[in-house]
Amino acid sequence: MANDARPERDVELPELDGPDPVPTFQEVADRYGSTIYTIAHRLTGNRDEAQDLAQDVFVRVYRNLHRYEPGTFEGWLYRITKNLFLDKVRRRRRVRFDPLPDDDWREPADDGLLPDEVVDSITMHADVESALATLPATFRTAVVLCDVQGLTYEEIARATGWPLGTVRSRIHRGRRMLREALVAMGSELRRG
Amino acid sequence: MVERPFRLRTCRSIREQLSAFLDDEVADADAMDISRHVARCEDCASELEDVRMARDAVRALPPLHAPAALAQPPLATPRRRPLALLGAAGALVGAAAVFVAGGTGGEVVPPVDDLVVDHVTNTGGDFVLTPVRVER
Repeated sequence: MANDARPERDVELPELDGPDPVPTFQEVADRYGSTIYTIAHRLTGNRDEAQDLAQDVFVRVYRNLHRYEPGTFEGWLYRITKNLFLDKVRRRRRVRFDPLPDDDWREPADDGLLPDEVVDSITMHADVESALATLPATFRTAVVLCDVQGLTYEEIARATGWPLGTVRSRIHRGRRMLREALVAMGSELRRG
Repeated sequence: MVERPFRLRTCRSIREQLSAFLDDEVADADAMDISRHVARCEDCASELEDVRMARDAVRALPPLHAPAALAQPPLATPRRRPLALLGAAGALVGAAAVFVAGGTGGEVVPPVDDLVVDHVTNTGGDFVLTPVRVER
């Protein structure tokens, strides 16, 4: 039980030509676009906010590509995403969190589920998105980096600048709050 | 393997580590303590199950595709070109003149296409606002 696999990361920075390659904007967008957009969406809970946040991340990356150091890129991306997200929350105090409408931003449900199972799955996802949106921003950030992006606690600590104990505590409390929010919404989480 | 002596830990100290335990982020000795504790303590076992379900629910969220607009490099300093401004202004003045003159018998057609092309040229095509219906 304690050895459950983390979510697989959907991108790795492939080896580029040359001894000290600096990726172009297009390479970064191609390789990390969906990753950053997914994280941004799970953080904001809203397609428009996610697009704005992801765009801000890539603008920041674009302007700072000259600072790129091989081996640190992913951590740098996550740090930028987390900083810009928390900045936005602080600046606006209140970000609109609306569940994502069931439209074409989702992956097609082609995993062999029966139609009623597909409906259950979509409903469950909408509930989880809504519950995530109720979490305070720092707890949501910890949960998203851990459970959406599959970072280790050490990687989250590096990306956020939080002490390891804080990361551990925020992930656990975030999950508990998430569970309570789902129960309050009457959502059916399956045991087993 | 040498069995460590059972160490009595409070439920509170165990619960603080339950997520880290689930994520395999605790030392082996702590993992052993927690395993023994939850085997005996229903409340802690229930909390372990709760956080496991919350974790699995988030992990089950599907990955999303980035909108195509994200693949476009941002413009360094988007500025309106004077020539484009003149063109747009000229088109507007022309349309206004036709309108004021009462028309020539034909229908007045606003230079929408010109303005759209001008807008897309100057903004890189990013984030064109979606028209909304205004209730009157």
